[in-house]
Amino acid sequence: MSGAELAWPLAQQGCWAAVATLGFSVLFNVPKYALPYCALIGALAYVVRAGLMNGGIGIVLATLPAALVIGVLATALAQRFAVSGVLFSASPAIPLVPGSYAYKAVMGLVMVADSPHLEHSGDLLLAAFDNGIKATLIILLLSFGIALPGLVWSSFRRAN
Amino acid sequence: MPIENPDTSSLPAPRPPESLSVVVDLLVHTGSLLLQHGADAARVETSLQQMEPGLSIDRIDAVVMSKTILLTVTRQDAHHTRVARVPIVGINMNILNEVEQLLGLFQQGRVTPGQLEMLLQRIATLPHNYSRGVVVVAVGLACAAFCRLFGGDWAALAITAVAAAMATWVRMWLNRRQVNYFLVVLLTALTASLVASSALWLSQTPQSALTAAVLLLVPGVPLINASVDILHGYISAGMARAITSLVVVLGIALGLGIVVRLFQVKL
Repeated sequence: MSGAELAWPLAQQGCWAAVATLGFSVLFNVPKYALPYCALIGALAYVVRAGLMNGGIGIVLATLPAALVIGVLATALAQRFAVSGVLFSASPAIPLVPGSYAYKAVMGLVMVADSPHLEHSGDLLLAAFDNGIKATLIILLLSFGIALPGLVWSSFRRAN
Repeated sequence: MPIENPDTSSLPAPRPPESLSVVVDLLVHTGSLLLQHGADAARVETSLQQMEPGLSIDRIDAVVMSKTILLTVTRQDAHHTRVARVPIVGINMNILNEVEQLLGLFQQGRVTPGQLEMLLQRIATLPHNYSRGVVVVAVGLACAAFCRLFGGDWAALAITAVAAAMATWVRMWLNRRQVNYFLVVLLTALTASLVASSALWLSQTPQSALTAAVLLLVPGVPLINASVDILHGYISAGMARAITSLVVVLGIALGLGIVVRLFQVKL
C-alpha cells in the first residue's frame, strides 16, 4: 500500500475526531478562542493512535504517545496564553477514552447473569475481562501521558 | 471574562490579617469551586496550599475527597476547621481556568483577600459560554463523529446525531430537576438507544449508531481524574471517582442492554 492510501483514511479519521473534540469542548464550556486548538490537538492525538495501531501496535501502548501529544501541546499552549493547561487537554482526551471497551466489559458481566451454560459463561467472562483490562490500562496511560509533560515542565521551571 | 487588575495604589498599606473563620471560608469557597467543576484532588490541594502565604497563616491542612473538603487553618496557636460538602455541578473548564488565573494574581499580591471573595463570587455566577441549544447540537455532532469513526454509514450518522442530541436534552432536563444520578444515566441511555434503534430499519450499520449514541454519557473526565488522583496518591478520592464512573458505565450498559434485548440486536 502506498503512503497516500494509508494517509487518506487517517486524515478522515482526524477530521471526525476534531468534530468529536469540538462537541465535547462546547459541553465542557471551553472558551471560544481555545476551540480551534482543542480540535487540532484532538485530531492529532487520534491520528497518532490510529496510525500506530495501523502499524501493528496494540491500542493500550498506542495510547501513551497520543496522550503525550496532548500533554505537550496543552502545556505549550497554556504557556503561550498564560492559562491553565486543562483548557486544552480535557476535551481532546475524550475521543481516546475507551468508552466502548468499558461498557463491553460491564455488558459482558451482565450477560453472564443471563447465560444458562457454564462454558458459555466462561467465554463471556473472558471477553469481559479482556475489555475491562484494556479499558483500565488505556485510562491509566492516558491520564499519565497527559499529566507528564506538565509535571516535567513545572519542575524544570522550578529548577531554574 | 478577564479579571481586571485592581488598582494597587488604593490599597491600605498594612492591613490587619483576616480572622481565621474568614480565611477558612475563603479557602473552602475556592476549593469547592474547583472540585465541583471537575478538578482532580491534587489540583485542588495544590491550589489551596498556594494561597497560604497570602493569607498570613502558618499552615493549611486539607483533605480533599471526591465530594468533601476537610480543612484546618492554623495561625500561631489558634486554629479553625471546616468540613464542607461539595455538590458536583459538572465539568466547566472556563471556571477552572478563571479560578486558577485569579489565584495567580492573588499569589503575586495583586488581589487582597477581601477582593478575592468578591471575585470568586463573580466567577461562580459566570454565565455558560454556550446556550443550551448549542450544547445539545454540539454533543449530537460529537456522537455522530464517533459513529463515523466506528464505521457507520451516513444514515447511521444522522440517526446518532438526533439520538444523542435528544438524550443530551433529556439529561439536562433531569439534572435540573436534581434526579438521582444513576436514574439520569439510565433514562438518558434508554432515550439515546431507543432513538438510535431506528437505525435497525434505516441503516446498514445499526450497531455503530447504537454504540455511538450513548457515548455522551461515558464519564471521560471523571475516569481520567480517578486515575490522576490514584497516581498522585489520593487513593480514597480516586477510588470514589472510579466506582462512581463504574456505576455510570453500568447504567449505560443497562439502558443500552434493555433496548438491545427488546429488538434482539447483536452488538
